[in-house]
Formats: sequence, C-alpha cells, structure tokens
Amino acid sequence: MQLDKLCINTKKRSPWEAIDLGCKLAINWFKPLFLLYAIPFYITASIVSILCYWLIPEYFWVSFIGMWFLKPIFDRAPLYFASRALFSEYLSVKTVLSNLVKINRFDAIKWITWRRLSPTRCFDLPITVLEGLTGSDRSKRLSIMHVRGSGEAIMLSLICFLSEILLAGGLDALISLLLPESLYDKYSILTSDIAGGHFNFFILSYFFLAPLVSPFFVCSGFMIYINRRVQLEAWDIDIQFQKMAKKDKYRSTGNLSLTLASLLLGCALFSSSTPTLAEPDSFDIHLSVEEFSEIELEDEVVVEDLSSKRQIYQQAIIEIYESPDFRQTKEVTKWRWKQSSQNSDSWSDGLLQKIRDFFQKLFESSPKVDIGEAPDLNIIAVLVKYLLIGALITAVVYLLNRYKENFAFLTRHIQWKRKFRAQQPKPEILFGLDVTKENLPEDIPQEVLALYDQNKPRQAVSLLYRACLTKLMHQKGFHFYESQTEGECLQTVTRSGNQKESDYLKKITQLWQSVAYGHTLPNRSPIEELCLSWQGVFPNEN
Amino acid sequence: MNLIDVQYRVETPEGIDLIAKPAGPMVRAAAFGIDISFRFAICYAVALAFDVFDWSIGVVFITLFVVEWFYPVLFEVLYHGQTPGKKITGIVVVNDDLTAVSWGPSIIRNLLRTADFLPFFYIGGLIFSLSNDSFKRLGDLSAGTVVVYKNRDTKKKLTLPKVAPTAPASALDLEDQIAIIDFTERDSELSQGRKIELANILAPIHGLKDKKAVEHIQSI
Repeated sequence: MQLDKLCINTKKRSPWEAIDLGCKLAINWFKPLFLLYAIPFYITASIVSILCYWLIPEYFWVSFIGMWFLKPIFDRAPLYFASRALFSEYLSVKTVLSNLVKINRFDAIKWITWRRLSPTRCFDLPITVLEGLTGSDRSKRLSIMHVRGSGEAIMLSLICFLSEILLAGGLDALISLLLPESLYDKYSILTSDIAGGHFNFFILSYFFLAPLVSPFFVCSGFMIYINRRVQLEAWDIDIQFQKMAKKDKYRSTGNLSLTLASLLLGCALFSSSTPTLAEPDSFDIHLSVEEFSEIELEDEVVVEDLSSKRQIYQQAIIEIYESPDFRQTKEVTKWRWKQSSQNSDSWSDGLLQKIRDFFQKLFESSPKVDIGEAPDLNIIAVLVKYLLIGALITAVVYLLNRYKENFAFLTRHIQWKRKFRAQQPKPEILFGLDVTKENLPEDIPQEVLALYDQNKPRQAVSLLYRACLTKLMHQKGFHFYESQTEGECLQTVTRSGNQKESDYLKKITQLWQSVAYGHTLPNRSPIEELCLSWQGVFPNEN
Repeated sequence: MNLIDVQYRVETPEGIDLIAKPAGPMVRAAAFGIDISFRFAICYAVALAFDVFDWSIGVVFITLFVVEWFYPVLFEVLYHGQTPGKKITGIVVVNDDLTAVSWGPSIIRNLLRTADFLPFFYIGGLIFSLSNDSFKRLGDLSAGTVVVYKNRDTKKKLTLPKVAPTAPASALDLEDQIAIIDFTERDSELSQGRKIELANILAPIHGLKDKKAVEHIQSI
C-alpha cells in the first residue's frame, strides 16, 4: 500500500463527510463504475426476467426479489475498481470484467443469502472483499470498524434504497402518463394493485435504473471504510511523516551541492556585475579635482532630470487612469414619479379619500351571511377581524420600536451630535501628533523657521501642522476626533465654511503629507509664506 | 498532483481563506427526511385538534400551506440557518460568503424547492447538487447560499501522554507541526504497533527506534 499515491486528501472527517467525498469520487469515475455495474447487472436482469416471464408469469415479482438478493455480487466489480483507482491505478473496464469471477469467488454465497439483509453492507463489503477476512477475524475487525460510521452506513443504505424505488416509480409514472389510454390499464402501477400482477413495469424500470444509483452507494460505503481506516491507522500523519523524512534526506544530501551551486552563482554574478560598474567613462581611479566637480555637476543634472521625468510619469499615470480599465460606466434605472404637477393635488385627495373609505369599511359592521348550521361564526369572524387589526397595529409599533435607530437618523444627526461634542473631551493625540496646547512654543512662525534653518525641515513642518490643528481646536472651536485622518480634519474645517482657515489648513496639510508620507524635502519658500500668513489666520490672543 | 477533496473556500477582503465543508446530497436527504416527519407531525396534530369541527379540513389545509412554505424559512433565519433536521445532522445554511442567511436568500432557496422537486421527488435537485463542486441545488445557486457542516465544538478532554517536552531536531513547517500534534493527541486512538511504525518513518531525523522514537515525537 503506497499512501503517497492516494488520490484523495486525507484528513479527519466525519462519516457524513466521507459519504460526500464518496459521491464526489463516484461522479469522477462515473463512467467506469456505471459500466462495471451495469453490464453484468443488465445481462443477469434480462435473463432472470425472461425466465420469470416464461415460467411463472403470474409471479413476476419473484424476479425483483431475486435480483435484489443478487445485488451484492454486482457491487464488487465497481468496488474493486474504486479500491485500485483510489491509489491512482486506473484499470480498464475490460480487465475488471474479465476478473469478475475471481473477484466474486470469495464469500459471495454468504453475501447473497443471510448477509444480504445487513443494513451496513456498503461499509462491511470492503472488509470482506479487500481484506479477505473470515470467521472470528472478520467479526473482530467489524466490531472495531463499527465504532464509528455504522449509523451513517445504515442511513446511506436507506437513502439509496429509497432513491432507487423513487426513481423507478418516477420513470414508471412518467411512461404511464404518456401511454395511450387503451394501454394505460395494463401497465400502470398507479391504477392497479400489486397483487394483480401489474407490478411488472415498475420492476423493469427498477432494473433499468438501479445501476445509476449503485456507483454512489458503493463509493460512499467504501469512503466510510477508508475514512475509518484513516482514523485508526493515521494515514494523514503517515503521509506527512514520509514527506518530512524525504525533506530531511534532501536537506542532508543537498547541502553540499547547494553550497557549490551558490558559490557558482555568486561567481557568475560577480563576473557579470564588474563590467557594469566599469562602464561610465568618467569613472577613473585617479580622479583629479576638476573631474570630481564635473561629476558633482552631472549629479545635479540628474536631479533636474528626475523632476522633469516626474512630470512625464504623472502624465503616464493620468493616462492609465483614463484608460477604459479604470473607467466604469453603469446604467442605472430607477423608478420615479411622473412629473405631472397639475394632477398632484387631486391625486393626493384621491388617496386620502381611499384611506378614509378603507377605514370606514374596516369599522363598519360586517354584512351578515347566512351560514345556516354555524350562526356563531359571524361573531368569530368579527372577533378575528379586530384581533387581526390589533395584531397589525402591534406589529407596526413593534417594528418602529425595533428599528428606531434607522428612523432616528433625521433627528439624531442634528441634536445628538451637538450634545456629544460638548461632552467629548478634546483629543490629545491626532494621528500620532501631540496636539495639546501646553506643548507648543510661544512664537510658532519663528520657531518653525528656526528649525528649518537648523536643517530640521521635517520637524519644522510637523510643528507647523501640529500648531495649526491645536489652534483650530482651542482657539477656533473646531472639534476633531482621534479616529479622524488628516483629510477628514480638513473636511471638517472646509464644511464649516470658514474660507480663510480651510485654505490655510489645506496648504499645510498638503505640505505635511508630502513631507511625512512622500518623504520629499520641502523648500523654504512655501514654509516662509505660511509663517507670514500665520498671524493673519491666528491672531495673538493677547 | 491534485488531490480530490470536498472543500469550499472563501477569501475575505483581508486575504484570509475561510474553509468550509459543503454538505452533500446524502446528509441533506437525511436532514430533509427528519424535517418532513416533523412537518407531518405538526399537520397531523393540527388535524387531530380540530377534528371536532366541520371546517377542520380548511384549517388543516392552511396549516399544510404555512408549514410547507414557511417552516424552512422561519427556522433558517431565526434559528441560525438550521431546521431541526439540519440541527440533528449537524449542517447549516449560510450565504456564499459564509455569513448567516437572511430573509431574502432563505425565501428564494425555499421557493425554488419546487423547482428542485421536479421532475419528481428532488431528482432535479439531486442532479444539480451532484454536478457542482459545493453540492448546491438550484435554489442554492439562485439564492447564493450554500449548505455546510457546522463546526462541532470539540470540548472533549484530551488525555496527552505523559512525557517530558523536548525541542525538535530541526525547524518544522506548519504541516509538520500539525502532524506531530495530531500524533500526540491521537495517542489513545492508535495501536502501539502502528505508533511505532509511524515513529520509525522519522528515524533518519531523530535517529531513535521503536518505543523511544514514539516517546521522542510525542515529547516535541
């Protein structure tokens, strides 16, 4: 048994999951499984039914019983195929069929006689057929295997038997419905009693359809069996351990070759990379002073190149964004009111009238109906009516109450927010920046420029942005939440309609974002500009 | 090699793979069988209760209608996707993204039960569910639902073998770790002979034999 050749994923499954896997396998191998079952089954069934029809036409149902008892014989060929296919060894239908007698030689008589009534047949069959156990060995093995999965095996047998019967009944009914009336009486099971001998057609449909169900039955039962063995013998662990051992082997033998290979690779890289380093003409070991400055100049050119390239890149990005891949056009159809303004008044009047009529009708005493034997029914009807009205009102009230959050958005937005804002303390940290009033220097513009001149541009911009937010919060009375992002803070200010502040904050935000996230170094001029206008936006409190 | 397996995989927006096990036609047939006997019991009880009145047949028909059309919907939405039959067999109806099923999908999948019933007794549903990967019948396909196994809480107490823990000889992959943990946890399930056999597979790594090998692996 080579577990690494298994074609299923071994893991712990419940018996029901094993049955599902069996169904999947049955679908995968449906053609060979069906042929393996159907060919012997159809041949035997036709012989048996012809014999029965010829010898005992009054007791045709004997053929049904006979075939039913013989069924385990036909299960074996598909089972044999499945047991080989599970380990990726696909036999041809011909080979299995030619071995049919050999497969069936073992224990077949027991299976078609007293063991036929065993409800766990699908589960037990592999134990007999594939392991070849008999007597006490077999019963011992069965008792171990049956700890889990036997209940599901019984259910599986039941479901498969029922579906065979239902399929056969369905086919029979279908054909009976399509038969002309003159023949209808003779063949249908719908109109005649079974004892009368008109059961025949049903039996024939059963013979015809049973091979369709059996692949599922055999495979599912086989999978319950395999699943139990996976559990008992830990096939999944076995497979994984084998893999680990193989990996370890590879590691120990592969180490030497790996180092060799990496050495070779390194050499190759080195030899290929030296010419690229030597390529620039100006690169010389004996650099004179003039040459050195020349190189510096070249570097500056490169920087300018980059900025001009950036524009090209941006252009390219815009072009890509405008390509159809990023553009979606959607056609949205919606219902909306017809625009007929002159009708609207009369229409709403009509609606009101209708509602009034409805309520009038509702509370009018219901017309008396003569019911004869049950005169009390009128009272019941009236009672039921009021009960229903009451239930409706209760339901509406309940629903309004249940989903009141959904309706409250109108009022909540205006009132609660204001209350909420008043209660909430002002945040001390926004996106990692300390925005308390106390930690700010006195003269902000001066401090910012000083920081910039000390070659700390990032700190300068950070201080500026931080100070701006703090002032907006404490001096201008804006409210930010700790969860807000820079963009959302800007939105809050923009929405309030203060043109001056929002413009200012917008400039600072852009600057801050390009410094903090874009890692670009700011020039002095925009910072200077912002510092100059600081006084205008935030005049000194004292 | 592509191993055959029954799996239903959903990737969340966060890039996490959720794996569920779709329930096949057999287990669903069993659940249906249990449900239909419950439904029959309800109708029968109603018929008995109203038997004294002349108009009892009407009540029975109304009950039949309500039970037939709303029994699965009500249970699926209000009872975590499980009708009593599904509860007993341990399966559950969920949306395609494994969230709990709501009114819309549940109603659609149960209305289309009629389509799955055709041509007779769920043969259509059976064929449909066998012909796609996650055993969806027509109603499931149109409502965007899937029937999966419910994860059972395994609160069974594990008795681990008593061994002093040691460190593994080499680094272990996730799969290796799972295998070793399984080996230790299933100590009581496996026979001694089989355990030794399994442990000996790893002999080239730990260099131990038989009983000592078993103990060594369990101690990792």
